[in-house]
Amino acid sequence: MSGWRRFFFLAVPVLWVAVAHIGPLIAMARISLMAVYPGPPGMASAFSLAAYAAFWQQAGFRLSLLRSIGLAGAATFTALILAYPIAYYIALRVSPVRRARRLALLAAPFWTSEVLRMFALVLLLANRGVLNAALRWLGLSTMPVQLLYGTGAVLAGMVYTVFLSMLLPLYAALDSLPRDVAEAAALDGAGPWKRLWHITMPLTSRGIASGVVLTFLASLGVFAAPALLGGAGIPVFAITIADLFGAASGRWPLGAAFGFILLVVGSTLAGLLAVAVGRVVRESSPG
Amino acid sequence: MTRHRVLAAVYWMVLAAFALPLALIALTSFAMGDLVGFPLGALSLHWYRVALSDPDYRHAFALSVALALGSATLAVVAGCWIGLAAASLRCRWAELTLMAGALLPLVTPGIIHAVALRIAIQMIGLDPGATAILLGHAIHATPYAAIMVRARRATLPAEQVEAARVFGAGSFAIMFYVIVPWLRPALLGAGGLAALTSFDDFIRSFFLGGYDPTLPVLIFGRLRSGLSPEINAVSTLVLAIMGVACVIAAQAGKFRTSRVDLGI
Repeated sequence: MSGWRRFFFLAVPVLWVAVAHIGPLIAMARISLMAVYPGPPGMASAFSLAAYAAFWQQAGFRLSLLRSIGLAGAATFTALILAYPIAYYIALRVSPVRRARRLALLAAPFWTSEVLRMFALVLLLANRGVLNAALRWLGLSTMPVQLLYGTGAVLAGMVYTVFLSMLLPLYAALDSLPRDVAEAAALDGAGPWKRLWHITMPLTSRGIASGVVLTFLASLGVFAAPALLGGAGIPVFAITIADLFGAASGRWPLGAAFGFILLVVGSTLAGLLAVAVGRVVRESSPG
Repeated sequence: MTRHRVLAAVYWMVLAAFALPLALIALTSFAMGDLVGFPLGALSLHWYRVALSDPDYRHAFALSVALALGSATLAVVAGCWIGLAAASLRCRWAELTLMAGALLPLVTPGIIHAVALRIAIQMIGLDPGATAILLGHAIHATPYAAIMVRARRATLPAEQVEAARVFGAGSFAIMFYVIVPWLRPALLGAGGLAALTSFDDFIRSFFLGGYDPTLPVLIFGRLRSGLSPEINAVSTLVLAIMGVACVIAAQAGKFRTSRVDLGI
């Protein structure tokens, strides 16, 4: 390729990534440092750290971030516990012909919008929902049991939103596992749990780590689940941020600062989590 | 073989846990009453009539379909270009940097991405509305196309490009007669995935939308203002459309389930 053609060929994608992918995050960081935004037209807003100070000073904001982190951690752990045996089963126990079909079947519910999935959970958990109807029918309760609008419902909703980002990396890792290693260990007399803990999991530690990172980050950003299943009592950080961008738009800098804080804290924690998971899993490997 | 059975049981139980709630939507859509709840009571198609005659749903559906097609096209072009540029870079670090930047919208938590996009369109003076959503969805889906094209490009035998060059093809001819045809499965897969994520997307549409809601945003709004039974009918229709689309895609043989195709 000639010089200018090569330049054009490379410049367009680099620009797209810089402007469309990185640009909005930089814009968010910039707004977070302004006193007012959107301000009066033609006026540059003054530099201000007030938004970050507000986060530091008000316990409610910090609590909401902590709640998000706790829920995201719990959702990630739940997804890992559910997804690992399933990925293991599909990758190593299902015949190659059926493997793709089993995976697609499990992934199918996640091809629907997260709003529909949350709606489905409402129908399941509501006071007039299926679970309560079943409880009444079985004679276990006379009054409706409050299942919706609590931490448990939000957690279930989060797992239902992000499960695929755990399943797919785990499946990819388990699918590329060298099968003869486990067979050799079995011949040496290692039991199933020993093989899982000392061989299979260490060999798939990178898949576990990437599943944990992707799922944790996705869980931090979930909005529909707490909005539809959470009720007013448990505002997670995503709800706090969204409210700041609501009709009274004077609080955009605060919302932008919270978005930036969530991004920095979330990716730092995700990184630490990946390292920790990798270490725990690898230390269990015998050699 | 009992361990095998236990694992199989876990698989089917989790599948049921994920699939049955969606079946509930379909089941309740045939109930007659004004209140969504169990037991269902008499069955009818009443709420389907209500839903189909509601212009809000028709408009939202049309908007969602148009946005899915438009944003998928844009995402495939952008992602394909990124993937090919990354593949052409000699320096490994430059390639990794470009691909990392390309993946950013995929790993940014949803709420942060939506808010950042909302601020960005405000900064460039674009009002919330269909154009803003189109751009947001295209940006969100670009990583899928970039990964899939990059992976597919790596499987193109170098001899094919060499042969074309020996026979006198220029770089444009090589691009459009050798490389792009080779990428076809990746482009189709990425396009389908991009259209699906756009059609399903809630958080970006919610923040970037103006007065005309997309279908998920409309359903979200109706859900928040109380359960009205026609939501079930609309949701069931959407599920049915999705199901048919999945079957068609599977029949066409494009339903390959490598990790790339499923969007990781």
